[in-house]
Amino acid sequence: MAERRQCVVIFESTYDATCSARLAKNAGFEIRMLPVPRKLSSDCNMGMVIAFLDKAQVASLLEKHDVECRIVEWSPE
Amino acid sequence: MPSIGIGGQETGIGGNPLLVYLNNAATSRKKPECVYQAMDSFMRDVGVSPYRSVDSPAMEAAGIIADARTKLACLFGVEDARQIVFGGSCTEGLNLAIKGILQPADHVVITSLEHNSVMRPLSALIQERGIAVSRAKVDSEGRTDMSDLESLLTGKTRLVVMPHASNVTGTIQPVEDCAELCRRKGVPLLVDAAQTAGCLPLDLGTVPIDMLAFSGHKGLMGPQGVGGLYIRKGVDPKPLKHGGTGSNSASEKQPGSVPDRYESGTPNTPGLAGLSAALDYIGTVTVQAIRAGIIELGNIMLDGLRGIDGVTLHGPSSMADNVGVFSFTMASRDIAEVADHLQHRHGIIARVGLQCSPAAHKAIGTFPDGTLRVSVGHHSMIEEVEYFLQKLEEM
Repeated sequence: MAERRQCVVIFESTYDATCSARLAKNAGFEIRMLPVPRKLSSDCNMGMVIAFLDKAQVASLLEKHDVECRIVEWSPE
Repeated sequence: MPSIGIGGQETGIGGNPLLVYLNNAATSRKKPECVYQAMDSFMRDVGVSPYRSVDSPAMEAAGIIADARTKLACLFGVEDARQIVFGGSCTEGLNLAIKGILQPADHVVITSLEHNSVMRPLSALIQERGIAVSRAKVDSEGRTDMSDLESLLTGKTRLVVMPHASNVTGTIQPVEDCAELCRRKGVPLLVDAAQTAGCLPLDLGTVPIDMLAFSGHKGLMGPQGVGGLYIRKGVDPKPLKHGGTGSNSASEKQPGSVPDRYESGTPNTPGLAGLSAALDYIGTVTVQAIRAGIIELGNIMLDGLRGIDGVTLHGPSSMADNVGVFSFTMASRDIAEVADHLQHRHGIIARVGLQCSPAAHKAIGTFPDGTLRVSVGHHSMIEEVEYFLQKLEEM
């Protein structure tokens, strides 16, 4: 059975969010941007949805580019 | 060949008023075609605020700003584009640096050539925070005396400010020497690059400048309303503006992450789209080639001005030390009347007076009357410089 869990990357800055979307796409990850779900954060930050299975690799990629963020597991309602 | 039109003004092609623009130190009037196209395209096809949502147009707007930031970082030799902070002007960048760094009773060392975009924030802080200001001397061509500047540094000196080039004399300042001195003394250096960004090479990767304010609409050939400040990592001025950034919105406190910390409010995205396109153009042409073109025009200007009776040039004698700005006075002539004649009779646009830099004019001995300033840019033509020189000589 395919892994369907997802994660949301929550960024500290708008610049990091913008660049991370490009970085992840260019690295071949399937992503989409979304308003951060309220249950994850009350900030109106830009969030990036990634597959749960990509979490470690995306984290590594963003760390390499000094992106300030946290990655949390998310199950859409 | 121009002809005389109604009102006594010479006319150019199609009978339109002739316009010879020699005020590039104020703004570059003509922009690369891609700048107009990028701004038009943004306004028509994107048109939304960045960072306030994550729909496609908003992400495109955010991407345009990220691109402009990355390209400017590349032009300045800055490793991390987060260190580029955008604002409305070079003046805003200078205010952020000066007001964000200086604390009560601090001491600041400046040159004698500062624009009012430096002098007025400092004057305000003399009143509000009791800061002390010392000015380093300049030589007869407007070059800062580095020995004098070094002698002014004290244990209370919290900032050194220097223009990369004077907006009055055009004199290129010894910023590399000043940066080395400031690094040795442990004092942050703020450089005002209003006259040089985009037309004089500078590598912040090798020259240890702590903050550099830039204008987007002069040598960088973007539209008016864009500018900003480079801030080296580890330098942390207090924000000039506070407000919404689209990040950390649950907090009523200003975010700590850069560049958001310094960029509250909806940005000038159409302007940054234009700047981004201009940076593409500069990247293709290269700053080195732009500088070479200005040197060619400047040599004609210098030779011509020197050959006109009664003209006194206030600035460098060689283009090696000049960014493309030429200030002069004329014996027994009111320079305002000369400027008026050149403009209304011959369509030549120059700038007369103090050029918002009374301090510089005091230093070179031209206060309070000031000078007549002509300044060339990337789009200036040899024919325009020769036409100006011819009309000036005929007066």
